[in-house]
Amino acid sequence: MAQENCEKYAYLDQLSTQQLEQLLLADTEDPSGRDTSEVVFHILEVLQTREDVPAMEPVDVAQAWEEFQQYYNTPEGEGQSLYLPREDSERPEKDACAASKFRSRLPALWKTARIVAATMAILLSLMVGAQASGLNIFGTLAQWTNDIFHFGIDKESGLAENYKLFLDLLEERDIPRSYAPSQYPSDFIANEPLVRDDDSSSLVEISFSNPNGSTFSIGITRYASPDIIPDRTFEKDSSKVEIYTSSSKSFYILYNEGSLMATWADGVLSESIWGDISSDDIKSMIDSIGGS
Amino acid sequence: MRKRLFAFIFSFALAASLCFSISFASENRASKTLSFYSVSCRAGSKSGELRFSYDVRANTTADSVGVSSIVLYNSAGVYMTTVLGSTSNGLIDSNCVTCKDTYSHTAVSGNSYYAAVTVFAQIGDEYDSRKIITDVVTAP
Repeated sequence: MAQENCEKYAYLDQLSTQQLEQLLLADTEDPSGRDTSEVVFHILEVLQTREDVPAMEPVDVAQAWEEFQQYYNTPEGEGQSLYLPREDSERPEKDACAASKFRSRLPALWKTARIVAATMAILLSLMVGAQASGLNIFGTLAQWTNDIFHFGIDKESGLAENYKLFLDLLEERDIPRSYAPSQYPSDFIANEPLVRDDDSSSLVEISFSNPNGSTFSIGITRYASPDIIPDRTFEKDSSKVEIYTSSSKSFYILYNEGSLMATWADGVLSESIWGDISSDDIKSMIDSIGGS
Repeated sequence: MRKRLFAFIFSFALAASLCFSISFASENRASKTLSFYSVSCRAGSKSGELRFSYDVRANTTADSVGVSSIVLYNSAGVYMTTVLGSTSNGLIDSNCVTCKDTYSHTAVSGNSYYAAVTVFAQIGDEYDSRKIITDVVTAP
């Protein structure tokens, strides 16, 4: 219906605004009473349309051509486009799209994080429960942690008589003298060496003490066979285990509540230096192993 | 939203508290008196003989060091007997750094056993001990 009216009153579009206004005035003064509402509405639409679109000023074609020749059609403009490069007007749309995708993923990530956290909590609680029931879960995990250390296995310069005796006892039990330090801290006195023999191993040990009351010990053990070497447990605190290598022997240095322990093992032999001794002194003694 | 947030905070707090308890327990495993130790059980040469080899080292010269007890169980976990350590049976030594020897116990031949062995060291007022479970051994 609307389309038919547009076609029916299309001729009114060709009239000027003044002419259309005169028609409206004539209609209001018409005494006949005819129904001219369709005409009036169409005229009003045309007038409204003309008001929305600003009237264009007539173009001076000659002047426009002259300006083009002067400002644009120049040698410097050769090959240049008259129009500015098109901005990525799509970019804001792309950014918005990416942001939208990220926002849509957030709920999924949040859900996954919750599941992971819940799973970890359940596993830890089960481990605690198992530990409480007697299973040494944490002990097993602590094979190489801050609390305990498991290990598969171990020079005579004006030395005291006790230390010479210590070296002799080593030889008697088929332990090379060269495995013992050839030096020890000068402020320590060597006590009488001890031997502990049983059916599984032989231990030759010597302790040292100084006037300050500090003591440390050197012990070298020879096991009867590799099959009977027991699983030894070394107490240590949270300090890192230090590996100190000298003369192709790698000693593990452990800290245990103020005491120090250096231990080395090779086959059926195991050597340990431990007690109230500084790290530097222990390393000096290790360096002297195999020396003269 | 509140429920989810509360569930997440609770899970995190639970996990954190468990980690702290593990960390606390781990730091207490170092010993002020014990340096290192080993215990093993083997079948002896005689009928029913179980031989416990032990090597207990104190950090420094200890007032008392060695094995305070050997609690024997059969392979099914049924309690059998307890051997208390003393200087007379050689399980404990005094005024020294190391207590190392082998203790022989007679059990029922053909039966299998394991033991819970407690090692210790006392230096002045400081005392510490550890329990070691041996492997199951069949008495000859």
